[in-house]
Amino acid sequence: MAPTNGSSPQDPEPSWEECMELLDQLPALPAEARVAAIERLIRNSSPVIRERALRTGAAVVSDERLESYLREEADDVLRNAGLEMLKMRGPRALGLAVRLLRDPDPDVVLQSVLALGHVRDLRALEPLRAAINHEDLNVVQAAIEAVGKLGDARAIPDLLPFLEGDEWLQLATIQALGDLRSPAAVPPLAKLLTDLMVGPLAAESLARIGGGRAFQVLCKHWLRFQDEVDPETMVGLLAHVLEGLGTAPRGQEELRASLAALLESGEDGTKIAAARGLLAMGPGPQDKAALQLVVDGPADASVLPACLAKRKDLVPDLLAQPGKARSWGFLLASRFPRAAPLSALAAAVRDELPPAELVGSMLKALRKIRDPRLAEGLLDLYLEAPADYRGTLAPLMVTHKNELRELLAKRDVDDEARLILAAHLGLAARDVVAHIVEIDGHEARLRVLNQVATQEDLVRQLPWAEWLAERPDLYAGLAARVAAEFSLRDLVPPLRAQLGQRPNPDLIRAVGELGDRESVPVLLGLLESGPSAAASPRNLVPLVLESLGRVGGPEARQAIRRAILDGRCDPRIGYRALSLCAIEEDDALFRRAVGHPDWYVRLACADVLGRFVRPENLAALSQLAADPVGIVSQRALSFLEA
Amino acid sequence: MAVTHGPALMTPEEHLLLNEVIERQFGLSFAPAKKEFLESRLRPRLMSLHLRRFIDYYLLLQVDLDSELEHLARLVTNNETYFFREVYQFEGLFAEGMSELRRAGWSSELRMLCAGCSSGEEPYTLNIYARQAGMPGARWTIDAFDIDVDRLKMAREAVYGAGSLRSTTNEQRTQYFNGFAADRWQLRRPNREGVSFAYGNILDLDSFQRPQPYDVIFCRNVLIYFSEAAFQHSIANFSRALRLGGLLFLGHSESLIGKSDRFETVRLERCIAYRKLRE
Repeated sequence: MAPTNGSSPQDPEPSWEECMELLDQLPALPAEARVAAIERLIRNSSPVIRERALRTGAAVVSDERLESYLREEADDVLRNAGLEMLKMRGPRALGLAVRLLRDPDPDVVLQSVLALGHVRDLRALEPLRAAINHEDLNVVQAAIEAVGKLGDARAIPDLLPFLEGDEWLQLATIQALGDLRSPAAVPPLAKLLTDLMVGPLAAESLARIGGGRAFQVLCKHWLRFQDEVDPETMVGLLAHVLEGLGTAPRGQEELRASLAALLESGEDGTKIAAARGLLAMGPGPQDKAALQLVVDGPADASVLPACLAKRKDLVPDLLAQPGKARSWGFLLASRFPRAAPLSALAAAVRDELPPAELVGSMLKALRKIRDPRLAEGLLDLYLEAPADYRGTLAPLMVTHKNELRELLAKRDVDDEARLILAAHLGLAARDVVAHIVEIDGHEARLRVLNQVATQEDLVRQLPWAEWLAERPDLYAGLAARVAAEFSLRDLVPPLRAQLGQRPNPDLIRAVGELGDRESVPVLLGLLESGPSAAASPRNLVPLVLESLGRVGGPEARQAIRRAILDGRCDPRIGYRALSLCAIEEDDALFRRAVGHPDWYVRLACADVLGRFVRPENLAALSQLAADPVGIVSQRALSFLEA
Repeated sequence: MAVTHGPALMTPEEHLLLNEVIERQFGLSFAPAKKEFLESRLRPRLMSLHLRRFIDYYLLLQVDLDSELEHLARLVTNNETYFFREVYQFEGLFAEGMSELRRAGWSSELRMLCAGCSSGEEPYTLNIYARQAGMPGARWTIDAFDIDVDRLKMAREAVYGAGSLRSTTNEQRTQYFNGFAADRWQLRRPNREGVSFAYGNILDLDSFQRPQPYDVIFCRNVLIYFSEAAFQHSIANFSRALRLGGLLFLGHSESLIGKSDRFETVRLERCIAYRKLRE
């Protein structure tokens, strides 16, 4: 079989745009053309394009052709692509790769071993143990590494003989022993630490094994040879092992002193590694300096560094600093809520609202600490937070409601904020309703409503119908949102009336969420009038289609189908809407769309075709299982496997 | 008390859909590993809009993107910045960089741009360095733009907290700032002069338009969050906005090597810049 029917190394590299276009067209191409396109795309210099092409290739290229790629001698790109596709097949590669272990060509065997090492399936252990005795040393080296990746410590006796002899095999064995993560591998690795050639690799493997025994060996080695080894590497490994220990080692004053000395005199990387090590060892006189180094280092604000994971004593120091340190303080406080001093927490809470992705950690920490002294800071934070964030903070206010009520009575807070807070703090719904009704001015009332409309019992007692009759222009949006959220079916008739007169996104969404079939004629009217409905610059069609899909029924279905077939809507929106209400007779439409350039349309196809099992749908799903977009192929595969 | 608990978890397809919009509008890309991060950023907005699912937010963006864009920009941008960050690039510019620019024909006003300026710490630090370099005030201008209007407002007010001054020494704090409130400092007026802020998008060439091209563009630690397509688009825009021989400074983990034939690398003391090669 000629493997390069799509391209050759001599062909000019296709442009980025050309490749992206070709990738979009892949699902619609016949099988042979698809393979040819893949063979062209894998030559592109963009890793994104290559990755997508290889992923598709892994799904659609036959075993026979893949094998021919692996045998390709003249074209390195194709040979490497074969290996990558084999790896990407995951456990599905097992059969082909194990068979090729017996191939007479050692290069083919080598690639099979590499693929099996990548797949990490324990079923490959015995074939790989056999490959360790292959006559080609490159194969032996790769097989040793692959056995290590499988992580089964029973293979240790097979590997130990290779610690003596050929140096490449020795290096591979050290690597593999580290990968096996077994304490049983510590003694043979410890013996190699002083070897000038392989000592550093043995240290790295010991660090990957981790645990008390590996720590003792590495610590002893560092203290004895610290003037001879690279401090950044060695201290980094020690820090890594220390961070992974269940409990910090006791004593170790000599180690502590040696790390402390590096805080000031080492290179930047060494300093940070020493700081991590010291922090992981537990409280000590260098904590302040070490903490500062870690804070100034590259660690991410949203992830608590491992060296701090057990340092509940540092919560106050972390909370007292702005930015990254405070984020870590909240993350640590959420792990050890009782260790967090209230004064520090209260000050941190009052100071500034953390970024949205860290609010969760702050809330988690604060929810566990029900102490009245936090209330004041919380109140300040709430009052200063942007409106978007107040809803996030509201559940937390309830945990401190008694103290907050007292504070509120003493504080100079405007009436609107006072009422909103009172509602969050448990004032009886009927009382909140009475206050809201009394608010003078619709806009002020709406400001309050927007903040308290998250409480179902309150929302249900409000006179929405009355307000809608009085000022539909002002209240229709919020009324529609709460009706959808709390299934307030009583509100459907006035909302439906508004939908006919003043269509807006909230109303359209609400009738869809509530499944109101009587709204379908109005929705159809909006669909017919197209994007310019209601003389608005907004294009309401996507929401109309979505709501029609949610309501379902013959009229809605037919309207969505017409919109798709007449090209009157964005295909992805149309197909999604139809997928919400599709019946079996719609499957032909979805089968025809499995080659659509938009991945979201193809995803809708997978969803619908997976719902209605029949041979032609299974064939279409098989095509989608080779989709270049992972989520589409996974969805199709999940249906096929089911 | 029954309360809403916010939208359902973001599904993988919702993540892809929203990421497409964000990438198209701002160039930012949130890989699958960052799904939860994106979800936590968008969640408060969905709660505020009473939306049950992230697909509802995607549909809302289809209906009226322009009205929502400002909110979206605020939610997804990374505003991590502070004064005197990676100053070796400023030092490099005002030492060897100026000689490079002179060799390329620059002789009068130095026109500089900070693309993706967040709350202004970078352009103001650049301004401080320009003043220290001994350039007469009239001989340089610094334009700065960002897509987050809240951050631009903060930049214009020039009042900062301790986080923004984390790399500022006590001497620098005394020299360049006035105490404003507890733990708040305002940049002194002379250090604010010559810096102008505007709304702008790195992907939109109009954001770069001015009568004459820039001599220097700083865009640091922004492109690392960009997709490959947005990266290429941005580099093309930088190239169009720079004069021939003009210098582009990127963050230390960002590189143009092997990615653009419009620029060549230039070694300046302790940093690397990229010089525009051709029109």
